[in-house]
Amino acid sequence: MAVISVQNLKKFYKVHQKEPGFWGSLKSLVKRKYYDVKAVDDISFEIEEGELVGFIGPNGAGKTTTLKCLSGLLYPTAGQVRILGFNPWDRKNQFLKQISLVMGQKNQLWWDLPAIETFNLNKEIYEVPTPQYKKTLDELVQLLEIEDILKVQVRKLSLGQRMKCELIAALLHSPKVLFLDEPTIGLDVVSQKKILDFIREYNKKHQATIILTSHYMGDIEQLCQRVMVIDNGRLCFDGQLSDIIQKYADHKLVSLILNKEVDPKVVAKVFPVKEFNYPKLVLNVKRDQVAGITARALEQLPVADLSIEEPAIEDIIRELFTGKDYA
Amino acid sequence: MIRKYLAFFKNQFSATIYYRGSILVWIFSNLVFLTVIVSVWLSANSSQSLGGYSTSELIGYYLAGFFLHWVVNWLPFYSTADEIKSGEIIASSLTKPFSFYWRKFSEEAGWHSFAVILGMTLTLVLAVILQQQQLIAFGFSWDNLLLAIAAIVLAIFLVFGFSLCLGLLAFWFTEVWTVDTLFWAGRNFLGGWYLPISFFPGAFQTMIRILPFRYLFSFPLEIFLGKLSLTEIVFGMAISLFWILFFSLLYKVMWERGRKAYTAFGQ
Amino acid sequence: MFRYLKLYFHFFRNCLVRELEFRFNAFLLSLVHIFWLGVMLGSVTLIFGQVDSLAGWRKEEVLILAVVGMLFHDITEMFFIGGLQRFSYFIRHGEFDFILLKPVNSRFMTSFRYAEFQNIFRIIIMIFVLASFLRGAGISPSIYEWAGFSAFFLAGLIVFYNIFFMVITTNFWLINVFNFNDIFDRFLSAGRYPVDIFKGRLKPFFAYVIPLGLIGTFAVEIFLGRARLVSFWIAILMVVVTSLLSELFWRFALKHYQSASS
Repeated sequence: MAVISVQNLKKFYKVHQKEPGFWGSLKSLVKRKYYDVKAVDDISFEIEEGELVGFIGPNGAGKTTTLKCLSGLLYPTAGQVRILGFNPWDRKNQFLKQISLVMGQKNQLWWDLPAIETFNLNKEIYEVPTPQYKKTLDELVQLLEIEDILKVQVRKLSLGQRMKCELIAALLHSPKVLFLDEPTIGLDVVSQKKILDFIREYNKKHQATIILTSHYMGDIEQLCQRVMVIDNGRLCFDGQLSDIIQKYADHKLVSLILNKEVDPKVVAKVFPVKEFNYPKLVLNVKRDQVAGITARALEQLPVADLSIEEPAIEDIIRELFTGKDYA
Repeated sequence: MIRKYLAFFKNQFSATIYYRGSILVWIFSNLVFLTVIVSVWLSANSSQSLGGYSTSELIGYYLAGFFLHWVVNWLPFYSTADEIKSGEIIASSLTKPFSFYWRKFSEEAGWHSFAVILGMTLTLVLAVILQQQQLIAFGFSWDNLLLAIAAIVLAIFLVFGFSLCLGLLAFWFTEVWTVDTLFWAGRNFLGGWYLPISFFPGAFQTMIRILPFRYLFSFPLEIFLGKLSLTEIVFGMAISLFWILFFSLLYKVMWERGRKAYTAFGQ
Repeated sequence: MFRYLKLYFHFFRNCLVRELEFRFNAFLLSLVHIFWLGVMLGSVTLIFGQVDSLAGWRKEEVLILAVVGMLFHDITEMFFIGGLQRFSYFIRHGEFDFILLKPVNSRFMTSFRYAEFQNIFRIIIMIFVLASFLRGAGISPSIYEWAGFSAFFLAGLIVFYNIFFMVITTNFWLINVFNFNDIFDRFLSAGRYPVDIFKGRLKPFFAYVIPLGLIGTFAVEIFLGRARLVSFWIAILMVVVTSLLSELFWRFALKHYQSASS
């Protein structure tokens, strides 16, 4: 039986529109116009135990809303959700003790206290038996290497350290299902990697079912075999990451900064140019040709700086819509 | 130049309308306060005048005070302390080409324009009601009104300057709310909010007249209700000006020192 | 049940740890508190410098009432005002979601998360002040009178906890309100005056809608030997009504929160 089962989930809101400026403010005092926002528009999927699934999509696509519906925070407009056999909306204590939600920029840690205090509090809240708590805490603290900062006030910690503590706070009760909403947002590269490694380890070791949302392609690539692409509240793709990358993100962008003028026409004949605004030259290169073309560019062009990037996630998704008919 | 301050003014005005829920709360809590105060004085039995006020004059004092409260409380303390604490001040003011003082002033002006209109309406309504019940009476004169307005303008600058300096304490201390409490204690007790300062025995009168608290609130009220002679008014205005100058200078010193201390720690 | 007690002590401890971080600040706050006490008693004394009686209450009686009123305020601060005040912040910054995610009653978490345990020192001082004022007025209450006093006091705490809780529940709809503390302050300050100051049409409002009498007047009247029968009925009625209303309103509000955007 699937651990997470979502059928025809819909979530619509009413939002009011305020006109900008001075008179707009005065007007909004008296009359307000409302319009419907279809945050989640008929999404269905099933997730088995131990899967590490990624939700990707542009901002405002409905990822966070979906997670909030799954964790019982929001009441769906329509559809059915079953997690571990529970209806999240009922918010039964038995259910809540087995899940956890981590939100990228929001803290559940008490601001003025050392993280360890929040951990102890959570122990009481989730009724974790002391020996199990000690064991879990030690394991998590070691994995994330935060022994030194346990007794430091949360507000004095850096963003990366705070995120690590947030994760620990969320995992102390060994939840079977873990929702991670943009956990690496705003973090530096090193912290990002540490956290992603940790999540991978945790998933492997405890067979926890994890849903991870992000709008960074990199996060997903590192962790998830299976991804779901959500755009405008709809599920556009549900399948293996390798499929997407192969079919839709089959190229990379090679950005060059040139230190001498070159004739654009000449360049265009030899290289697959995407755009050229001196000194910046961007090449659209097929993945398997990146090494070759980069080498040639370094040889033949006056390159001052070079970087190789993934195509933007928005581009990939846009492609998913236009043309390619994937079920 | 004026335009950027006008922009702050407008923003704050719009923001104020957005916070209309808070305004409702404020109106309600002030009304409760006023009702309680009026009831207290009406149930007071006394064989003499109350600190030089008759009961109906006293009610006039509190009603006028109610309006004054809306007009005169330009309190940049809270937003200033918050901005410093959160570090927002760096982005919003420390690196921008305008005076923090005038920016805060314009914002307070924005909020208060709204408040004054609201406060005036409410006060007039209440005045009419109380007048109907014949609970309120005092000697009104145009001269007093004009002088009171002058005193109010001084009071605004004084409250603003005082509050701003207190807010800047956040450059050095993490918890400045204690200071705010003391400010209110001083202003409410020694400044005429709880009771007219004439209630204080003679020994305290000189001290009260020299400290700034009276000029934050009580002074314009006393003028308006015709309780002061011309000499006393002039004296009061002079003291007001002294304190305004004092806090202006203090502000400059604190701003410079505070900036250095703050950015030195690399928040 | 026991679990909630344990949780509650955890909140207390957390608060204590938090406050000890700001040791100097805690000391300063205690000073400030004594200062406010002085200001309040000073004001009452000054008023009675010009006035003979207030709605039939003499100076010593009003002073006792003022102290009881302040004690009431202190106890509310010790137990739940902190949590109610911060609720506004939590809602606006989306941190209320974390409370909803926990397998604990959300009302309990919201109300008691920020208890101010260190207030206990203040409260002990206040009780001493009260005792000395009582002695000064020549009143020595029997054990029954202390019990009656405490019963009314407790009823008042429950009633006003419920009323304030209902007030902050409106924050789900009135997101932009951040100054509920003003209302709390005003009501609690108003409770320091004898409820008899309200005449005419105001009387039923301040007796049955916002029962200010439960803050101090009724309890003190037991000491003064002039407890009134109606106060007993008001206490019972308000405890039941406000408890029911606040719980129903909270549940209704939660449903609404989970249907609307966050």
